[in-house]
Amino acid sequence: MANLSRERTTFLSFSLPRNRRRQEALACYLFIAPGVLGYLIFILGPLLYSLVMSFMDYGVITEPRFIGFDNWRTLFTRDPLIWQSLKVTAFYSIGSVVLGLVVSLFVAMLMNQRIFGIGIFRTIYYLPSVISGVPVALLWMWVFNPTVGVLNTALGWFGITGPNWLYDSFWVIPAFIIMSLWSTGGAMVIFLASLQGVPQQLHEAAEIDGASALSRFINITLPMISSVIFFNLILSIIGSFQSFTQAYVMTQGGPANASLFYVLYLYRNAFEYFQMGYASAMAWFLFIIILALTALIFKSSSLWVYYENEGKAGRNEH
Amino acid sequence: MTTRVGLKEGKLNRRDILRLSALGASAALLSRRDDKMLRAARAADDVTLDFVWRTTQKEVDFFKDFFKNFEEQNPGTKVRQVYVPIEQYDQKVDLLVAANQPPAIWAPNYSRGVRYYASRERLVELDEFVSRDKYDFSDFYDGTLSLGKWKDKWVGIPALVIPMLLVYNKTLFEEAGVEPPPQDWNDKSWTWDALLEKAKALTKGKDQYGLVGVADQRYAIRNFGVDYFPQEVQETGYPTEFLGNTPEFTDALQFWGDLIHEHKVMPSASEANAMQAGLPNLFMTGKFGMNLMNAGEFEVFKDIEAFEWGTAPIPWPNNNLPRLNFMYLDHYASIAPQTHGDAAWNLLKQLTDPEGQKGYPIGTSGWIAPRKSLADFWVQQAVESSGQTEENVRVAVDGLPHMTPSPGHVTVEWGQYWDKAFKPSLDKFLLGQMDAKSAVAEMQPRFEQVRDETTPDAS
Amino acid sequence: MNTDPEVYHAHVGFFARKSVRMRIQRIVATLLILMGAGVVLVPFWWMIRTSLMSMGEAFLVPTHWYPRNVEWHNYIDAWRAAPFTQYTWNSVVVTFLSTVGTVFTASLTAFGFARLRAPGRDFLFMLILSSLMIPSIVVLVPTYLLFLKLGWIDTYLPLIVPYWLGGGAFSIFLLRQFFRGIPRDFDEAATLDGASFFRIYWNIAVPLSLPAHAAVAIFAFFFHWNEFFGPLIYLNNSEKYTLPVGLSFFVKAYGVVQWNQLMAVTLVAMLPCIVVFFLAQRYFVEGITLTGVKG
Repeated sequence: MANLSRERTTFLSFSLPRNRRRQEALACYLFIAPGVLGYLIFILGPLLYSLVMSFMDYGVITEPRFIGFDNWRTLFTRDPLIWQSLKVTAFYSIGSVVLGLVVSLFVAMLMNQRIFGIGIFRTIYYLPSVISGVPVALLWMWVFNPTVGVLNTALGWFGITGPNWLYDSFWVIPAFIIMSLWSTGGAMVIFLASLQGVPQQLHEAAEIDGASALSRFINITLPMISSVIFFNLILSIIGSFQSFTQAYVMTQGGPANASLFYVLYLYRNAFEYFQMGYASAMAWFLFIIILALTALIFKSSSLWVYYENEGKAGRNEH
Repeated sequence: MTTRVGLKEGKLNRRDILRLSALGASAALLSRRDDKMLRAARAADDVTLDFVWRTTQKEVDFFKDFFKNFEEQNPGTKVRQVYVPIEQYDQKVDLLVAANQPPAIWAPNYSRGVRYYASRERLVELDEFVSRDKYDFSDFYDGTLSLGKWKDKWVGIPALVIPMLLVYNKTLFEEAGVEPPPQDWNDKSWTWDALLEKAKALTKGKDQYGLVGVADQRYAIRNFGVDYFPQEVQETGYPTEFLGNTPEFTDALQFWGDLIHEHKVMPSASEANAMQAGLPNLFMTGKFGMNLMNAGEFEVFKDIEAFEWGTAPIPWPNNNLPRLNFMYLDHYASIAPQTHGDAAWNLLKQLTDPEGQKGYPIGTSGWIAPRKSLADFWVQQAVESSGQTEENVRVAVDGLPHMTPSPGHVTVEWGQYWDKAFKPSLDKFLLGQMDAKSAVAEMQPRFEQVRDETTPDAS
Repeated sequence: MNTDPEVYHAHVGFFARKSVRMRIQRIVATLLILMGAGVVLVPFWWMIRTSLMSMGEAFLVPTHWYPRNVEWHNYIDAWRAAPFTQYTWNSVVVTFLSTVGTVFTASLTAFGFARLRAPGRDFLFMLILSSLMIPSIVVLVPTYLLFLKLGWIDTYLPLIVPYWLGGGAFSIFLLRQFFRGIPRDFDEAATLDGASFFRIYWNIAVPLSLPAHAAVAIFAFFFHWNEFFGPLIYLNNSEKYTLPVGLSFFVKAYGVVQWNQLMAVTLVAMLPCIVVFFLAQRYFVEGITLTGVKG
C-alpha cells in the first residue's frame, strides 16, 4: 500500500488534458470563494487601514495626523519597552508552545484508549477550554496567591515553600505557562482526532516485527500525525505571541514589567496612552515577526511533515 | 466525461443559492426588529440622547426607571441607553466617538477620568448652561469640584466620591489586648508610627498580620503625607517636577517598604494587588488586624460572622507632614459635539440633583454622593446594608474634607507615568530588591522622559 | 492461519505477552488519567463550592472545601439578577447560525486549498492564514466603521455573516490539514468513474474526515458561545446581549465581584459547551479506518 502510493507523488492533473486542469482551477476558485470573499470584505480593508494608521498620530477620540515614520523610528530606537515585551512574550511562547504540544499530545494519547468511560474523561480534560475570560483570570489569581492560594498550599503539603508566583519577576511567566497548560484541551482534541486516523494494523504489524513502544511512537505515530503537529505548532505560536488578557487582569504587566506581554503593551498604547497609531505600528511589527516564523516553519515542513500518499510533503506543495 | 462533470458542477451553484437564501432569510428575520424601531424613532422626530453606562445590574435597573420618568416628564426627548461591561466600556465609547455618535451623557470610566477627554478638548463646555440656570454648587464638598473644571471652564459634574478609611478586626484586637484606634480624624496622636505599634502587637509570623495592605498601590504614598508632583498639577494636569528626590518622599517610601520587610506587619505587595482586581478583601479571612479600604464596600462585610469589625480614620503622616490621602471621583460629562446640548444639560441636572444622587450612587451602589446634604442619607443606607453601627459608618463621611482627588484623576497622562516611570521601580522596591533611595533614583530619569514626550508644548 | 508449529508458538507467545503488557499499560494509563483529571478538576470544584456558599464563607482561611450551608438559592438569585433567559436564547440563535456557517464554508474552502490546484492558491491561503497574525485591537476601529457603513451595528449580522464566508482562518487551516491526509487513491478511483469535484468532496473527503469536522464544530460552538467582545462592540440594545455578557453584570466598578453568583452563572453557561463536546467526541471513536485500501 505504501509503495503504491509513493509512486503517485505527482499530481493527478499532470497526466490529464489541459481542459481538466482548467476545470480544476475553476473548481478550486469556486470552493475557496467563501473564504477568500470573507477575507477581502471583512479583513483586508481594516488591515490596510491599520497600516495607514501606523504613520499617523491617532488617539481614536482625536483626528489622525500624519507624522511619517515617527512611530516606526520610536518603535525601533527609542522604546526599551518594545524589546522588554518581546523578550517576555518570546520566553512565554517558547515555554507554552513546547510544553503545550508535549502535554496535549500526551493527554490525547491517554484519551485514545478504549477504556470504559473515556468519554467522560475526555470531557473533563476539555473542560478548561470551555471556560474563558475574566472569571478564569480571577480564578487563577486565587490559585496562585502566595499566602492562601491552592497551589502554594498544596506545595506546602510536600514541604515546599512556593514562590510568590505572580509577584515574582522570575516566576510570573512560568505561572502563565502553567495556566496555558491547564487549558490545552483544544490542542488535545485536535490531536485526538488525528490519532484516530493512525491505523491499528500498522501498530500491530510493527509489534509483531518486534518494535518497541517508543520506536513505534517515533516511526509510526509521529509521522502519521505530523500534519496536525504542524497545525498545532503554527497556531500555538500565533496564539501565544498574542497572549494578553490574562496579564491584563492578573498582573498588569508586573512585577517591574516582567509580564509585560507585547500585546498588553500594544493595548495600553491604543487605549490608555492615546497612541493608536503607535499601536498600529507595533501590530504590524508583530505581524512581520509572526509571519516570518510561520514562513520558516512552512518551509521546514517539507523535511518533517508527512502527508500520507505523498511521502515527505510532496515535491510541489507544503 | 467532460459534459457530465460540467453538469455536476452546476449542482454546486444551486447549493450556493440555497445557502445564500437561507442566510438572507435569517438575516432578514433578525434585523426586522430593528427596522420597526428605526421607523418609529424617525416618525416621532424626537430629540434622542445617547447614554452610555456600565452593566452593573442594580445601576442598570435604576437608570432604566429613571429615564422612563425623565421621558414622561420631558415629552419629545428620548434617552437611548447603551449598557456596556466595564472591560469594554472605554473601547465602546471610543468607537462611538470615532463613528461620530458621541454619548450625550456618560461617566468617564474610572481608569481614565474626566481629564483624559477634557485635555483633548472633547468635552462639551457647560458654562453657558451653568450660568443660565444658576446651577448651585454650594452643596458639593469643596474637594470634589476641582476636577469638574478644565482650564477654568466647567466640563463635568461630580457623580460620586469614594474616600478611604481604615477598618480593624475588633475580635483580634481584644484577643491581643490592644487598644482600638480613635475615631476622630482630627486626633493627631493616631499616626503611622502609632499604627505600627498596634500592628506589631497583632502580628503572629505568617499566620496573622497586623495590616492587610495600603489599598491602591498607585496612590498609597499619599497616605504617608507626600505626593509625586507639586500642588500646581491639581490645576494644570501636567507635572513639571517629580518630588521623589526630597527626603520626605524617600522616608515615606522607606517606611512603607519597612512595614513589609523590616517590621513584617504586612504581607508582600501581592495582597494589595489581588484586592484591586475585584478579589474579595483579604480582611474577610479574619487573619488580619487592620486594612485600608474604600468607603462604600461595607455591604460586603455584612456576611462576616467569624469576627467583629470597626472603623477608624487613616493615620496622620509621621513627622508632622500634612494630611493628603486621596479619594476617587467620578463625573458625568458630555462628549462634543452635541446637537442637543440643552436637552443633555437638562438630563445632567436631574441626574445630579439630590433625588437623582440618592438613586445613583447611594441607592444602587452604596457609594457616597458628593453632596453634603446627602451625607446622612448615605449613612443610613450604609448602616442598613452592612449591619454596622452609625458611629462606625460616619467615620467614612467625616474623612471626606481631608481628602484630595487622586494623582490618577488629576494627571492627564497618569497611565504613562505610572506604567513607565513609577511602577517598575516601585515593584522592585516593594519586593525588597532595592531600597527607597535607589528606587527613586530610577524613577527620576524615566519621569523626565515621559514628561518630555507627553507634555504639550503650548500652555 | 499458519500452522507451522514454530510460528504458531511465536504468535501465541506474542499474544500472551501482549495481553500482560496491555494490562499493565491499561493500569498505568488509567492511573495517569485519574491523577490528571484530579488536577484539572480542582479549579472547577473551587467554582462549584464557591457558587454554593455565602460571600462571607467563600473566602475564609483555611479554605472551606465544602460549604457548611449549601446556598442553593444563589443560582436562582443569580439567574434573576439579569435577563439571563433572554440572553441564553440570543446566544443559542447566534451560536447556532455562526457554527453551522463555519463548518459548511470552512469545509468547502479548505477542500479547495487542500485538493484542487489553481494559480495563486497557496498565496491566497497564506493571505487568509495571515489574518490570524494581527492583534485585533488595531483593526477594531476600521472594522467597526465598516459595519457602521453597512448598517449592521446593533444587529447580529457582524457576528454571523463573516462566518458564512469561510468561518475564519483557524477552521480553514484545520480542515485543510485533515483533507491533505486523505489518500489520493480514493480521489483517483472516483475521478476515473467520472465523479465531479464536488462529488469527491461530498462523498469521499467529508465522510473520511468526520472527526475533523466534529472538532471544528466544537471549536466554533465554543468560540461563538463564549464570544464576549464582538457582541458588546456591535450591539447597543442590551436586550440583544448574549449570555457571556450577562456575567459582567456581577462586576462593579471599584467594587468587589459578587463571586458566588458569578460562579453560579458561569457554571450554568458552561453546560451547553460540555454537552456539545460530550456528544461530539463520539466521532472520535476508533474504528474509522482512513485507509481502506489494501496493498
